[in-house]
Amino acid sequence: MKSNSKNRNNFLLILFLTILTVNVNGQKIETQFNGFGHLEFHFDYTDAANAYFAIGEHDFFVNSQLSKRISFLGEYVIRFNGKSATSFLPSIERSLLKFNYYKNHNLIVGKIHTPVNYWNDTYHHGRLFFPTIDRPLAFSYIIPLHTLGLQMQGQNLGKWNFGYDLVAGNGINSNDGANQGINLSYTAAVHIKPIENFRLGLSHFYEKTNSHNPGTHSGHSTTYPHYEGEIYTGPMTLNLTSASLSYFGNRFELLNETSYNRTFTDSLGAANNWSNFTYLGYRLTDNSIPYVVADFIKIAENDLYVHPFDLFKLAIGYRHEFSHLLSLKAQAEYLTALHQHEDHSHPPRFAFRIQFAYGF
Amino acid sequence: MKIQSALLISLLTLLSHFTSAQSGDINTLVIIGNNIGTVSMKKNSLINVFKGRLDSWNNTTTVKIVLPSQKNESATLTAKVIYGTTVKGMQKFWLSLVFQGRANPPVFLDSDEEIIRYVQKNPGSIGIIQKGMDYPKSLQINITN
Repeated sequence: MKSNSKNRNNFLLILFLTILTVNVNGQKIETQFNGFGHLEFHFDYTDAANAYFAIGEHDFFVNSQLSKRISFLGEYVIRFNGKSATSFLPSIERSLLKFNYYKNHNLIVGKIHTPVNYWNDTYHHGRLFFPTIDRPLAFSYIIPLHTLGLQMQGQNLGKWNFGYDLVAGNGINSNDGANQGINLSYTAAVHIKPIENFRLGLSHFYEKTNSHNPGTHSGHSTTYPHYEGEIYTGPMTLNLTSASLSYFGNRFELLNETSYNRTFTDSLGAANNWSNFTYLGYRLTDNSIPYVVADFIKIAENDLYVHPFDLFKLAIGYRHEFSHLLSLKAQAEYLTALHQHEDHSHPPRFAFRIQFAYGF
Repeated sequence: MKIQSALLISLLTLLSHFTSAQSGDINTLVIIGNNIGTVSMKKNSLINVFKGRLDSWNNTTTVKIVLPSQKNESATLTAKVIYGTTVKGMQKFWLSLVFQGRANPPVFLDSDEEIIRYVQKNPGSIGIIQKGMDYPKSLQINITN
């Protein structure tokens, strides 16, 4: 099984390298480098108060036009990790080759952010672009953040600026070097942008696995590794349907991310999970944006992917954009677990956070 | 279904009311291009091109956008007319779009002379300069309504 998968990957690589070779025409290579990072101050209160500074992800971004029709994009992140000898770990978050084969239609191969919703398709690891301090709760549990594979993409088609993304790639049992079994994950996403600053999107992610090995793929969040109970390792079918509505105008800002996740196991059947994230902001001046956030995730009693629990977060915040390269955010939030994990608790938490996000 | 359609149309109408309309006359600028497969473009098509919504021209040449940098005198007018925002807003727009991976980065140049030279040398490029500049008329792109 492993060798089948490896052969297929080798074939795809050779195919793409062939296309690359044919299209390199001696043009001058244009490359752009950017860096993004953030620093934070936290005041958390659960059973006791904790106050501390934190160094956030530091993101190195490369975009290079390799030939007339082929470009490369890379995003490399270094983040704090207490288990590392140096306290930091590097990771490749995106690394892809894009072949513009016809007008606004592209073939992409590499590691991408799975285009399941607006947030994952837009903000990536650049806190500078985040409207809030952190990502929706669902990103830590049910959203398949990354896919390594092949993507067909079309964008800005027709009067309504229709776009599509079709992806086949390594699934939740894979890592960035190998896959277990021959099952791939599949994503289909569409969106429209009928008016300026507005986007409406819909997507579906599907994967059927023979075994479940949570945590193998660093880019697929599950409740692992923090879950302390017994982890299910049998076969599983995952479906995730997501809808995104975004509007970032001169005054009003709105982002709604809704996801319905259905996991199916032979032992407990279908489990229906939900998440919803809503952000509302109002631009008082060119630089000042107060905002509110409501975010929840509900995992069903019979779910063996994340394991049952409910989380709810309310936040109020303020964003000040000093320039297009520097922003300051302050956010007060209350997070409560309406329903606890079986084997450990998620106590209610009050938090106040300040974040400096920058780019260059 | 009718109710849903009505709600969607109402929402779009409401949002379009708040949408940043272009707040300047595009004819106050000069558009120059090199081997882009046409010598005239509609105003809306031009704005779409400058917003990174076209990857390649009809003649298959890759679109290369050339814009005035913050130091360039025409940056403020370009940002207002094409992007309906400030120079900072225009830069943020492009930084975000390139980071998404949905467009190739534009070239920002400090003077109109540099923009003209760049467009002359690079097929597929399209740029914006102020009126009153001397430039090869073969590069001119006429704007139609």
